[in-house]
Formats: sequence, C-alpha cells, structure tokens
Amino acid sequence: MSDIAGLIQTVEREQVAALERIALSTKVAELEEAEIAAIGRKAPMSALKRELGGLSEEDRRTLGRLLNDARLTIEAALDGRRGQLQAREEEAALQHDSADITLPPRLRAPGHPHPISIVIDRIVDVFVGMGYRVAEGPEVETDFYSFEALNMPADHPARSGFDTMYLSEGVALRPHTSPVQVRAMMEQSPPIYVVVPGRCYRRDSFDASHSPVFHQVEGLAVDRGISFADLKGTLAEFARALFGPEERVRFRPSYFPFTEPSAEIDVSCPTCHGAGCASCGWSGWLEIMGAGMVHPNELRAVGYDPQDVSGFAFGMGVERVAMVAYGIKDIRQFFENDMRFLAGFAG
Amino acid sequence: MRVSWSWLREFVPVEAAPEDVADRLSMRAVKLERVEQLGAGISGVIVGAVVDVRPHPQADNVVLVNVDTGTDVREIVCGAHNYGPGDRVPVAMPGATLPGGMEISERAVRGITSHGMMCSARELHLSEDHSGILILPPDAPLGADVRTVLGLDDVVIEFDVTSNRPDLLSVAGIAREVAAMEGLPFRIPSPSVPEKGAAVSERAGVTVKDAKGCPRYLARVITGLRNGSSPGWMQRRLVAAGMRPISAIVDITNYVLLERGHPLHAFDLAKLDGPAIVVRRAKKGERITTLDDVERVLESDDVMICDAKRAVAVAGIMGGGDTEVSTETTDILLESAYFDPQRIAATARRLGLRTEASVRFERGADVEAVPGAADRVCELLLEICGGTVATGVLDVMARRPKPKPVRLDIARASTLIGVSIPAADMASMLGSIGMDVTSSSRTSLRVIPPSFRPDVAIEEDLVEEIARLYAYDRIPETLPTGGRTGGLTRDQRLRRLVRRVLLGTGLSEAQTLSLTSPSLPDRLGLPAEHAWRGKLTLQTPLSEEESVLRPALLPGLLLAAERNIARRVRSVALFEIGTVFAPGNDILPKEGLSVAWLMAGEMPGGWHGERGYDVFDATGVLHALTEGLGIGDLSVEPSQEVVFHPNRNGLVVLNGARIGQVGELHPRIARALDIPGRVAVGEVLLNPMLAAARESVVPEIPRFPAIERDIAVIVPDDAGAMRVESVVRDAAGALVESVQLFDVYRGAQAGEGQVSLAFRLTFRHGERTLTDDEATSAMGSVTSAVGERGWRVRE
Ligand SMILES: [Zn+2]
Repeated sequence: MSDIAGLIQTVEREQVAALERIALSTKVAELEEAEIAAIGRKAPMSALKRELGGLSEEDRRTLGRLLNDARLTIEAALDGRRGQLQAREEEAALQHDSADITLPPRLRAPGHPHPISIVIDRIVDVFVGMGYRVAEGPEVETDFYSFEALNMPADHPARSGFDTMYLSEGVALRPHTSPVQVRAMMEQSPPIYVVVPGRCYRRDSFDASHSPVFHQVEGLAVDRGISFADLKGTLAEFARALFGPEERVRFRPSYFPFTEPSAEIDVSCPTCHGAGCASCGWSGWLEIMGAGMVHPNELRAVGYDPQDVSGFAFGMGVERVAMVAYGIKDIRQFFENDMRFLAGFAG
Repeated sequence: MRVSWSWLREFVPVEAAPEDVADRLSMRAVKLERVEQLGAGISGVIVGAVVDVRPHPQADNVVLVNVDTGTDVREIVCGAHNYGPGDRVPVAMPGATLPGGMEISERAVRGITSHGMMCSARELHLSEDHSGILILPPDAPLGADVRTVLGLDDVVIEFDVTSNRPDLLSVAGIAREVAAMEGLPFRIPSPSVPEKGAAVSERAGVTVKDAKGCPRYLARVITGLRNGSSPGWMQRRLVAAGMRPISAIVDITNYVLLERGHPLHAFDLAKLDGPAIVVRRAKKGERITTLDDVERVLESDDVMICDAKRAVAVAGIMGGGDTEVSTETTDILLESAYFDPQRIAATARRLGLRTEASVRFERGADVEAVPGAADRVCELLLEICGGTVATGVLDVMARRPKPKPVRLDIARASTLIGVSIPAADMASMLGSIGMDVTSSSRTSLRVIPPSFRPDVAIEEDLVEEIARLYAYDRIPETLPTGGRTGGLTRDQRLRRLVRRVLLGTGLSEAQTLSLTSPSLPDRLGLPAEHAWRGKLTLQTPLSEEESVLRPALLPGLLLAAERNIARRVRSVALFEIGTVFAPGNDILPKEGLSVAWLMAGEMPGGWHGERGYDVFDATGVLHALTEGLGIGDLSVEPSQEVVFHPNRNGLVVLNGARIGQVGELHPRIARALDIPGRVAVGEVLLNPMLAAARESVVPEIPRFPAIERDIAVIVPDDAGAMRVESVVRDAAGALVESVQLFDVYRGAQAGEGQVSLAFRLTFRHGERTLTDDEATSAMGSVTSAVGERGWRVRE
C-alpha cells in the first residue's frame, strides 16, 4: 500500500512543481521547457504512466485517474500561461514595430487627365445625354469636305494657303471638325443628331491665344421642323450643364458661311457671374461658341431637301472653353505638358 | 468700325445713353467691342495763350513760357519749342490729371518752379504725336476745358463688323440699324453740289476696258482748291475712327468713306496724263509704286486705273505715288467707282495690302452709292477748300444690276425661327432696314433687298433679318421633339477605358503637337531611313518646327520630357493617345490611332527607396493595357530597333502582327535630350488592341482543390523568359491551370551566362480532385522537356 501512496505523493509533488514552474515562467521559451519537464517523454509523470502495468487493477485505476487529472491541470495551466506570455511578448514586439502613419504612402497615385480631354468628355457627355451620337473622322481632308460642302466657295479666304495648312493640291489638315458633319450627313438620312469632337489645324503662329493645333467640338441636328428656338434651347441647356445652372446664356447675331441665321453664344463670366472682371474684359460675358441654322446650300450639297428638313449646327473651341472654365490665360500651356500644370487636373 | 456718338446722331435722333444703345445693337445687329469715353482721365487741362518765351538761365534744353489762362498769367517750364506768342495751347494746371493717371503739380525744373504743364497730343491720348506741344485752334476760348475744345466730350463705340455686312462699315450704316432697332427715323441728307465750271467732258475722259472688274466708274473734276489742313471737327472724327489726318482733300474723301462706307480717291488732275482715266486689266509683270512708296508687281487679273500713259492706281486698293494729291494741288479728278469684290479680294490678298478701301470693295460696295458719295465729297470740298465743280459727271456703267426679288414664305419663316410672327410685323421689320417689300399675299412676301445689302440673296437671309430684328432674346428655348438614343460606340467606350487604365498606372495625359520638326530625327541621331522621319510635309508651313505630320507619338513625348527635365521637374510620367500619319494609297494619308507612354527621372514615392524607371515599368504599362482590355494573346519578342536600348526592348506582337515597341530608350538618345537615367517608353497602335479587346464574361470559380509544384530551370541568359515559360506550360499538359514566374536568379549556383527562372505551376481538374501522382507525372514531363532543350533543373 505504501507503494501506491508514494506514487500518489510523487504525482502530487510533480503537479505542484509543474504548476509553480509554469506560473514563474516569463517567456514562451521557458514555458516550453517547463512543459517538457512536466509532461514530456522523459518527465517523471511519463515514467509513472509506463509503470502502471505492474499495479493491481484498483491501484492502476486510481493512479491512472490521478495522472490524467494532473496532466489536464498542467496543460490548462500551460495554455493559460502561454496565452498570457504570447500576448505580452506580442505587445512588446509591436512596441518596437512602429510606423509614422503620416509618412507619404507607398501606393503609386493615379496620373492626371489632360484638361482638353476632360472638357471634350464633359461636352460630349452632355450631348450624349440629349440623344446625340459621337461622330469622328480623319484629320486630313479634301477641300470638298472641308469647304465646298460647307458653302465656302473656292475664293473664300479661309481656303487660301494663308489660313489653311495644305499637304497637296486640295488636301489639307482640317481647319474645323465640320467635314465630319458632312460625312455623317452623307452616310445617313435625317433624323441626324451628332456631336463631333476632334483636333483641328490653322495656320496660326503660337501666342497666348493662338495655336496651330487646337480642338473643337461641333454638333449637328437635322430633322423635320428643327427651329432656331430648338437651337437656343439645346445650347442654353448645354451651357448651363457645362458652366453651372447659375450662369446666364445669351445669343447674338453673327455670321458664318455655313449657317443662316447665325448666332454667337455668350455665357456669363464664371469668375464674376456677370458683374465684370479682368478675365471677361469687364463685360461680364465670355463668348464660347458659334451656331446657326444649317445653310440650305449645305443641306443640298449632301442631298437633303431644305424644304423638307432643317437643322442647326454649332461649334466651339475646346481650348477656349477650358480657358474659360479653368481660368487658363495662355493657350500654349495645353501643349507644353508640364507635369506641374497637368497635376492640377482631375475628373 | 469705330463710330463717334455725335456723328451717329447726325443720322438718327437717338437720345438713349450710348452704352445702352451699343449693348442693344450688339444683341440685334453687330457685335460691340468697346465703348470709349474720349478724354477719359483728363481733368484740369484748360486752354492757354502763349504770352512770351524766354530761355531758362540754367538749362539749354528747356524754356520759360508765360501763359495767359484767362484768369492769370503763369510761368511754365517747357521742353518743346514749336510755338510762339499768341498760340493757344493745352495747359495742365496744378492738380490736373492726364490719361494714364499722371498727376500734375507745381515743381521746380532746374531751380525754377513750373506752374503747370503744356501738353502734347500724345500726353492727351489724342494721337502718337509727341514732336511738340499741341496747338489749338486760334478761336479756342481762354480758360475753356480742352475736352470741349477738342471734342473729347464725345463717346466712341467700336463694333466688330462681320464680313457679310459691308454696309455696317460706315457711320450711316450703323445709324440705319440703330434707327430700325429704336423705332426712330433714319435721315441721310442728299448733298447739293452747285456745278459752276466747264463741262466735265472738256476737262477729262473716262474709258473702262475691264467692265467685269469695274462695273461702274464715275469721275468728277473740281478745280481751284486750296489744300490746307482740314478743320478741327473733321480731324477729331477721323482720329476717333482711327485714321490719321493728312490734308483737307484726302481727309474729305476719308471722311465720306467713314460716313457712307463708300471709298473714293482723288487724283491730282495736273499730274494725270490726258487728262484721262483708263480702267483695264493689268499686264502681267506691270509695276506701280503705290502711295506707301512700295513697288507692286501686278498680275493680269488685277484691275488697274491708268491715265493716258501709265498706271496710276491699283483699283480699289491704293493710289499711285505719281498722281498723289499734295499741298500744292488745286485741281483734282475725283474717282467714285464700284469694283468686282472677288477681283479686289484676290489682288489685295496677293499684294498683302489691306486698306480701308479694299476691305469695303472686297466685301461688296454699293453700286448705287457711287454718285452720292462723289457729291458729298464735292459738297465738303466747296465748304472747306473752296473751288469750282465742273458741270456734269463722267459716269461709265456697263449695265445697271437688276435687283433680284426674294420670296419669303411667311409660315416657313415662323417655323424656322420657332415662333409665330405676323406677316405685317415681318414686312415692317424688313422695311425698317431698307428692304423693299413690294407685294405681299396671305402666305408670302416679295422682298427686294437694297443695293447696300449684297449679303441678302435667299429666303434664309430674310429669315435671319427677321429673327435678329425680332431679337434672339425673345425667341423661346425649346428642344427638338423627336425621341432618340445617343451613346458611345464600342471603340469610343474602350478608348475611354484605355485612358482610365493608363491614368491608373500613374501616368498623366499629354497632348503634344501633331506637327513636328524634320530635324528632330537628326538631333536624335537616327539613320536616314527611320520610322520617325515623317514623310508628309506641309506645302506652306509657318515654321520648320511645325512642318511635318507626326509618324509616331513618342517623339512628341520625348520633347515633353526634355522640357520637363529642363524645368527641373524630377519625375516625368506621361502618356498620349493620338493620331499618327503615314502616306496613303489614296489621295488622303493613312491615319492611325496610337498610344504611347514615357517614364523618366525619379519614380515618385520618395522615402520608400527612390529608384529610377526601367524596362519593366514600360512593360508594366503594356500589361495594364492588356489586362484592362482583356487581351490574352499579346506577346513581346526580342528585337533590334535603334531608338531603344539594344538589349532592353521588345516588339509587341498581337495575333501575329507587330503593333508596337516597348522598352528603354537608347542612352544615346536620352543623352541628346539631356534626360538622365533610364527612360521607359512604349508605343502601340490602338486600333488592333481595341479590336482584340474581349467582352466581359462570368468566369467559372473552381470547385476542386489545386496542387501547386515549383520548378527552377537554369537556362542561358538569352533564352527569353516567355519562351521558357511556354515550354514549361506545354510540357505540363492539360491539367496545368497557370504557370507563374516567381523568381529570377543570376549567380554562382546558376553559372556564368546562365539564369535560373523559378516557376510555380498550379494543376487542377475541373471535375474531380487531382491526385499527387498526376501532378508528379506532369512535372516529370516538364523536367524531360527542359532537359531536351539542354536546360537544367535547379535542385
Ligand atoms: Zn468676369
């Protein structure tokens, strides 16, 4: 009997020692040593377990249960202590792993769109919303599409080599996007609602307000019963969509060879809202586009009957609109592609 | 066109404020440029009379002048000497202000106090003349405000007249529009010319041999004139309109030109051979020295005015120096004519000579205004220069042009304008601007436009007149009624996607010129035959810099990078989407849409470890494009292209077609542009990319687990990762889902000239769980395929 009592004492002693060692561990590594000492293969309790076979049935059951309980108790203590120590150690490690959240981020930022593209997309989107499709065409055109079909006869000053950049006889860089309108009209019969963005060329030297390369958005609506009132409504709607509903729009008589009647459209200056400031020359208004009812000669040139259909056309310089919208003073900035200039644009 | 308010009011009794009238007119007829108050900024400048002039004791270049201002005699120190006792001069009193904000105070000049300042024309902003003090008319009252004496209490309105409205290039023409707008009467007095001299036919002759170029030529002869300077009121109006006073006779013809819009010319009769006028075509190569002392060489389409022997004027543009009116001139032949607009335009353009006369003739003068304009000149000559007008006129007119009536469909006009306007209103509006509404029915008007409106020829022209007189502002705003759908095409949508993708990679968008310099390829040291040498050259470029259509976008981006770097910008990352040009088979060149990108300088990101860009940034952009567009079968093949670093570039191949190039710029070219470090660049044609873009599909998410195996292959340096990968992939068989390169190693374990490429292969079966044996067997095939190529598997 003393045998079994001694064994029980050994188990109880081992358990107390193990629990004490666990409680006194200060690092996860010490705890692991404590675990091996208490319940590892070479631990006294493991040796006792191997000796169970030589005991009586009753002793074996008593000691087995005791050993099992002791092991569960030790393991629970280990888990508890391990949790504590790991949390403490992680806490300590995080203290050393600090980052200054205000340093510049690593992710590469997106680039900046060009203001001309932004403005073209915005203009186009307004008209697409009104049911227009987008038409495009070549930048080099024949005189027929650039001039003749637009009611600009051979002696029209714009057709001279002074204003237009010719590549060969009768072939020139388009001075406006109007040829695309002509092509659109020749390709389909009315109703036709198109908006035409694109690059154009004029024989101008670079200065603050001229560039030999520039962009236009033109548009065309041809249908039965299209009126000047429709032109007004469409373009007023457009100008408010682009410049904001608080700006006013006005229509003045003007002259273009390809429209009759013709109009120029002013928008109240977005800087001073019409009060007058330096950017609008103290007039309160900024001219943004030209428009008019399509000249009957132009309708005839593409095979339409001016008695049957009518239409309006409009055109604006994208750089001009961008200069008005963003307050840019020098057109050359658009083509210098200075990273610091581009960085200003988003959208 | 600059119009003085006082002049305008001679023809229309308008009482409203000039600014308001100008604003309203801008909305009805002609665009307002600006309204100028003459004499703005002038105050405290009065008329004084010079009493005596004495030398300054301390200075040679200034004098002491006693000036009587009516209330006192004050001593003024003055630097000019063009006056004497009795002359009336403008005196800026202490406290006066001059245009430009200059304030006058008493101040000492070399020890003597000047009690005011005498002013030049320039100091009063009257003209550029600063050669001396402005001498005022002798009757100018002492002490009077010079603004009144000089007519500076007037307002000048400047209008931007469109090229279709020659009638508005005159004070009377503007007045006619004001009258129509304000509902006021328009009056232009008919000049009265007492003819007292001999019959004009005894004094001169007129022959027109070029009736097409000169449909009407009228001459009058005036003798016994005194050609001094014109009166102050006339000079003031000419100056206000932007013309320079010359002599009474010339000023009078210019005055009538401004008043009525009809150009006239005075020849010195004594200098005309014959005296006779012959109007004919020029002989090719014929020469004439014009008033501006320039010798002009003519072409056979030019209309010439000649005397019995020689050319005396380029018709409708400028007179010749030989027959010019001078201060000695007493007798003149006055020309009032109508010339063919297109002929005048062509000559003026060719000679590069744009005059007040040529502008009016080329836009279309009024053939019926010919006699009245001549008479008005005679009237003013008699009043100002004395003299006698010869009896009768020499008026040669081939055939009076018949006015062409235009039919106006009342209903159509209302429909086109978009608002219903009663026929009677239309008729009265048209009548108010000189249209002759000869008959009307319930449905239409028959309208004869006046001879001064050559721009009105068809029904739509009348519609415009009605719309603007009704006022654009009053026309309602409506929208076209037909329902329709708009939208972007597939290509247009994808192009926007390309932009967004490129912006997402950190590149900013550039817009470079489509016109380049032919010498740029030389600067970059490119060979004589190279794709960057554009073959499409402008016929008449403005400058060599912008004379060739760009064959590629990258050169433009390189110049943008050069400019940025030169401006000390540290990081350049740009892309451009734009048109490139090549000679075509047709009459038009071939145009293609291209996309190019460039990265140079420091990569942004600062403290994370600054580094420059390299070839993999360039291929990264290409990868972003293919991922963004969903293009699968694009490959990059090693290539030789002089623009690129010889060993760090590749051809971009899509579906077997070469569509571009990507890599690092050749260091020599970067050096030529002063761009430091490696420059990552690429350019591909966009249309094939857009065509290869795939539509969105819902992918199948795998249900069975995958097995991953790694293998490192040691290959020669030049084997090409993409090729090794495809060998591995092919050998791995149908079960391989992906092959991912995850490590590249060069060093001792790989061996000299060798590189180790490590791939992760993922195997999966779509219908069941794969076994380890299947993966192992596939890897065995990979190992033997690698071995067959003489490569090694790294253990
Ligand atoms: Zn403003």
